[in-house]
Amino acid sequence: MPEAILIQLEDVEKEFQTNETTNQVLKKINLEITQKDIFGIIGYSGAGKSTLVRCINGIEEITAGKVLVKGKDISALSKPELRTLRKKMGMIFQLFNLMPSRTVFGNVELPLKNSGLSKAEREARVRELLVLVGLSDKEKEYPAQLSGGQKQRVAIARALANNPEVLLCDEATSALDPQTTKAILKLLRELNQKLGITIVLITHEMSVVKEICHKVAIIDKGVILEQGDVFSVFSNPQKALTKSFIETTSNLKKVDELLRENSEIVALEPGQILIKIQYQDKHVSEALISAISKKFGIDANIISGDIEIIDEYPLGGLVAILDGEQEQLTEAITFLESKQIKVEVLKDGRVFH
Amino acid sequence: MDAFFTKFFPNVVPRMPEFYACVIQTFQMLFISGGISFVLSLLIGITLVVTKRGGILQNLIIFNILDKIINAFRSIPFVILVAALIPVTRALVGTAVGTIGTIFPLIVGITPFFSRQLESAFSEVSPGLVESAVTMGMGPFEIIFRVYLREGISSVARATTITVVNLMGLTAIVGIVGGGGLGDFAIRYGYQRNMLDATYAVVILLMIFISIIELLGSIIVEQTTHE
Ligand SMILES: Nc1ncnc2c1ncn2[C@@H]1O[C@H](COP(=O)(O)OP(=O)(O)OP(=O)(O)O)[C@@H](O)[C@H]1O
Ligand SMILES: [Mg+2]
Repeated sequence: MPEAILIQLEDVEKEFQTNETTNQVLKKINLEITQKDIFGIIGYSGAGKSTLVRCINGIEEITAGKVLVKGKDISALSKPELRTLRKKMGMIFQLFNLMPSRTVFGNVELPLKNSGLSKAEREARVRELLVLVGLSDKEKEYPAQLSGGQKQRVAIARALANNPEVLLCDEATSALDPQTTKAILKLLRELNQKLGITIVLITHEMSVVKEICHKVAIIDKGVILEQGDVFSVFSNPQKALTKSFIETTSNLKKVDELLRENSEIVALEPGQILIKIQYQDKHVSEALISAISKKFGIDANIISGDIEIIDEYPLGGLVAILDGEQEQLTEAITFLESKQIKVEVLKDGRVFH
Repeated sequence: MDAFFTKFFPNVVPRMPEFYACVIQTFQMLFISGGISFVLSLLIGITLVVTKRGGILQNLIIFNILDKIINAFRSIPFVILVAALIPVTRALVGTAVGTIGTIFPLIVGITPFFSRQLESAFSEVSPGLVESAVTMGMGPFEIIFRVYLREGISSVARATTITVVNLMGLTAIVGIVGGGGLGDFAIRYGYQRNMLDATYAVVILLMIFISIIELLGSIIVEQTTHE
């Protein structure tokens, strides 16, 4: 059953007025975020990412267009209604924004004040949340005594206090080291699966999108360049910027350097070819290399590979030197292409008669 | 011990009851005007922070009016302010002299300074904290109490210490208009009758007071900072 659309942006525009000059930060943004999605928004610094998420919970007022949450136009809400809505939209930040004067417990309890819960109920809820993020033993510590990863866990617990339907994450892992980033992303994925919470994740790091997002939008200078499910955007990028993001995490590019330097590694014997193959489709799960080597009697020497599992499908490719009969090599390429594999011959040692 | 005091403070020792009375007057001026000014300045300081551009209750009209009034009052030297306020003081409390007569000018004199100090104390509360409170769905008053006042405590303590030290200076000046207090004592005996030891006794006592205030301030700052 398809999930309902939770957040919808229609032709959203945002301008900032700064003495006489107008800075158009968002231009005709159209997005649809489905319930239970992990939706990534990636772009370089200044692209307008933070402004975009801040429009979703109405912290930033939009200049034109519509932001619909569960079909309701949020610009039509009164201030108290907007506050009620925000309680159902947790948000976490790059620098955590924990209250330094409050303990871990106090920070997580903060959004529960004025919520009509009794003290005992609040305590129970805070403890439950701390278990969820794995910080039960830290309840009496102050934020300054915690590591970055622990601080972000507290922030997540705090954001989840009122059982929100959405968690907005603005560069939530950008201040963390790679290992901690992984742990936090893992936690987010678990929360998504366990609680069914929708996650909107802003980042400038491709690895973050690859790690957990189902859908992705690429934003540049206030414009959404491309969007779609992560696999199709990654396997078939349309825009140069998308490609450059993908390359930041791919090592298939290295072979270009090797070729330029005429490296020994890519030197070919007569009759060999150097190819790059890339997955383009979600249905590939066969052992392709061994298939062509068996089927066409080809020897394959893999130079480099970069295959990742995105959204449960392999994405990426291989660079390999193939050695075999000329006709067989040509047929092998045709065979691969018939399997929706993109094949590029980088260097050709075949001699055609 | 007595011999020591008689030797070094020959003009103070015979006037001890008067000296004590002056100490009490100074404290009265300090605590009454300081206490009232603290409440007013908290209100003004918070109002400035929340109404300024980007504040949670942005209102540039209110902000600018308050801002201009504060600047105007801060530009008047305190002695002149006291003199200028005499009719108002008289209308308010029935007298413009004595310790009672000094409270109102002291409040008017210190509040602009105190408000500015508190405004900058509250400005030190990171905008990120306020933003996260907004995303939690907190309203403006909740944010004032749960974020600005709470997270600003140590900055407020620091600002208050500086202000009390300043206010101590002002209480000495109002001695001129018959306000009494230690400043008055130092001027009447030390200055006008050339009893230098009276001045030094006051100086030493003020230095002790100020050290105690600063110590208290730093204890509060330490207790409220969790870094
Ligand atoms: N309150 C504001 N007033 C004026 N201009 C603003 C304001 N907030 C953001 N901008 C401008 O909007 C643009 C986009 O800012 P935004 O913070 O959304 O970028 P970002 O993609 O989140 O960047 P980063 O990765 O650095 O956080 C920037 O050029 C910034 O100067
Ligand atoms: Mg940003």
